[in-house]
Amino acid sequence: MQTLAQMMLYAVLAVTSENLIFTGGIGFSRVLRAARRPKTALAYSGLVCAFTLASAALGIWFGRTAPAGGWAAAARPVLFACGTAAVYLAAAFVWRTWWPKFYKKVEPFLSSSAINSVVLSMPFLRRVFFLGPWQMIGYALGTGAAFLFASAALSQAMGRMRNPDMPQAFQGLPAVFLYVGILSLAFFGFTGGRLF
Amino acid sequence: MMIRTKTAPFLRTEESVGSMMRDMLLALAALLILPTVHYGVSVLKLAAVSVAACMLAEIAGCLVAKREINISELSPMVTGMVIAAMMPPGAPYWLPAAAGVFAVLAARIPFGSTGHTPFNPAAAGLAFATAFWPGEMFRYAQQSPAAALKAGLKPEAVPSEMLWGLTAGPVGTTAALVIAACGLFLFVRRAANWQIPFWFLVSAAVFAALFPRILVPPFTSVKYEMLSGSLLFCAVFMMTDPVTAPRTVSGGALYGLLGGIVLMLMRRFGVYEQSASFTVLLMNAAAPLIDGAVCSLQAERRRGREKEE
Amino acid sequence: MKKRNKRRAGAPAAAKREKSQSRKPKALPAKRAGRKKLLRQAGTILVNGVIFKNPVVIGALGLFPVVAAGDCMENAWALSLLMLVMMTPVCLISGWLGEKVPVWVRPALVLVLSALFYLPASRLLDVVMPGASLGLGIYGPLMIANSIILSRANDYAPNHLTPAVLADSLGCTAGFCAVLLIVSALRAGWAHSLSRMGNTALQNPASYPFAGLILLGFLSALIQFVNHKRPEERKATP
Repeated sequence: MQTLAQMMLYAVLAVTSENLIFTGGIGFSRVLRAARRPKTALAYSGLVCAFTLASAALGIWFGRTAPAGGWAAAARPVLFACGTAAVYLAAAFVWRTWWPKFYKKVEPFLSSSAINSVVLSMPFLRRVFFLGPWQMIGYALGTGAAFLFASAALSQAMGRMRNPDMPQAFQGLPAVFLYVGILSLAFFGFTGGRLF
Repeated sequence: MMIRTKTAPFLRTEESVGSMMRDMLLALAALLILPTVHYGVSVLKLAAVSVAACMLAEIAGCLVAKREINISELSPMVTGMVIAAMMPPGAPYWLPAAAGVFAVLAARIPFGSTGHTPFNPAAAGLAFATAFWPGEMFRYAQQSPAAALKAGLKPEAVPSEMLWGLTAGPVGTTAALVIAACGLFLFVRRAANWQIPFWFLVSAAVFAALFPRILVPPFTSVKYEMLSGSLLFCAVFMMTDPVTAPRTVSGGALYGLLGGIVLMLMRRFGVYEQSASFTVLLMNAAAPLIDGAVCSLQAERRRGREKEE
Repeated sequence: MKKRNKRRAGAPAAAKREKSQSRKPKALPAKRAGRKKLLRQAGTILVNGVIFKNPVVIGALGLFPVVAAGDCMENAWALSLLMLVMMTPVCLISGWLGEKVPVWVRPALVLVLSALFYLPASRLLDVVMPGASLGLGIYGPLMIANSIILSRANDYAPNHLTPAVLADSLGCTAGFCAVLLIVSALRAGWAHSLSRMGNTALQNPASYPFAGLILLGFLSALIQFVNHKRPEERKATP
């Protein structure tokens, strides 16, 4: 029960005060891409959540098995990246081989959902926030939910970012930046500062 | 057949937008009467500076964007008055000016001005000022009830003082009775949708009763939470912005309900003693999602009914 | 400058020989002209990467270093150095491997390459700017998954010739660094003026991500304004 409560707490924190996207500034490029394809936003977010979980598990395993200092400390970023790449390759191989219809549906966004700064940040965050395994899992799930909320909110807003009354210079991406900036300001009410 | 397209707010005639803005301005001006009596002419100067900053920013923005400058456009004035109402009595004049300039140049002009803003510009300006100058935004002569509640203490002010604006707080948000009267005026004149503030206050009250921040009976907790900070002001003047609120009736009710919960959560877990502007921004972002969900649900129900028939 | 198909519908051999013989006196100038054209195209690609098709403000790539980490000049220079050392080799190698690597494997390979080049980049950073890595926190290692590197190495490099890949990677690096340095300078100046006013905020407010995003919005609007003023024919990229 306590484990579940911790998981849920960190999931909620990942959506609110420790939101990686709006207060940490990580993953905006992917959120924008997901928002541009609203029909696949749910699948995209689901994949991001799954790979984030896998990356979090990788960080937990690495933390338990690898030595704290020495070569492991220096090579940590490379090891995490190789692990992320391996997870992606394994998932792509399995789906290509045994579920080709599913693979064909997710192929356009599979690599970008698996290989991005949100996914890669999970093992690092475990050390920064001193998270236990269940807290990490909750945080990873919450990050997936935050990604979905962000891409859904942006995709709705993007439709309004090209109206004729807008100054031409602001139409499209500049207005999106301002929109995301003001939304990031809204999350500021929870954190009052930077995440890292 | 000529197809005429209109932009939000979707009211019956163009004159209605102007009359709505005029009613808003009247209500906001009425809010400043009691604070002027309490604190002096500086309150009016604050409002004048805020409105002037918004208007000048609007003119500058229109010149740069090569848009027609419409001085009868009252929307920047409403923004300026809302910002002024949320300022502390002794605020330096540059504070509402900075908030007003940000509100117009970052949250209004780039999105196409009236009818197109995804966020309430006044809320964006106030959030900006709070993030950058929290000390100035919450500087009062004595501890405000909102600050006391944030610290887990029972406010020293009695509810009757909080009804007439005799407590520390932003100039236009402390007199609960006056805000209620202004709200009633706006609802009768149909310048604001009553459903949003109603559900907003209901959900905030229920939250306050179930999860009090101080060790008092539920009713006392509700009393203090409702009358402290800028909750009432936010409910009447900011959540009801017709451009940023949901278009559907059920969506508006849901918007109000969720907004109340988010505000209470921010009061409990957020960093600042007053989080109304941040709440409004979050809910503005959620409004299109709420509308989309409501419309999909209604379409599903209609399809189900048609199948049954 | 895309890679062409090697098999061509052949003209008869005799006609080809005739053509080449008649072309012989003009061979040298044509070669020079071809080289000039290649250089000009490479130059256009480079300039596009810096300004007109800037990966950050036009492509919305590589946002987290600018938005989250780019709040002071030290971080900006550190991230620029990392980008300089990582981007070009990764793109060149990806270009040389080209279509030998299956499309679905390429993203993983690019990530591993990026990580491998992060090691010497961070080592160089420690030598050139001691202590800068600490200031970057997790944003330094996250440069491995910088979307500019990943997207250019995955999508552009394998399908283009080496000079184009080199020009593109250098242009994107320069464009990224330019935006990062400008935004960081503005934020550092903003923070300085706030501290002179007597800042009462909990931290340096100009270092918050939303400040970076809002600045990016205005910078992007400026570039878009400049782009709209360009004549149509100059907007086309080889």
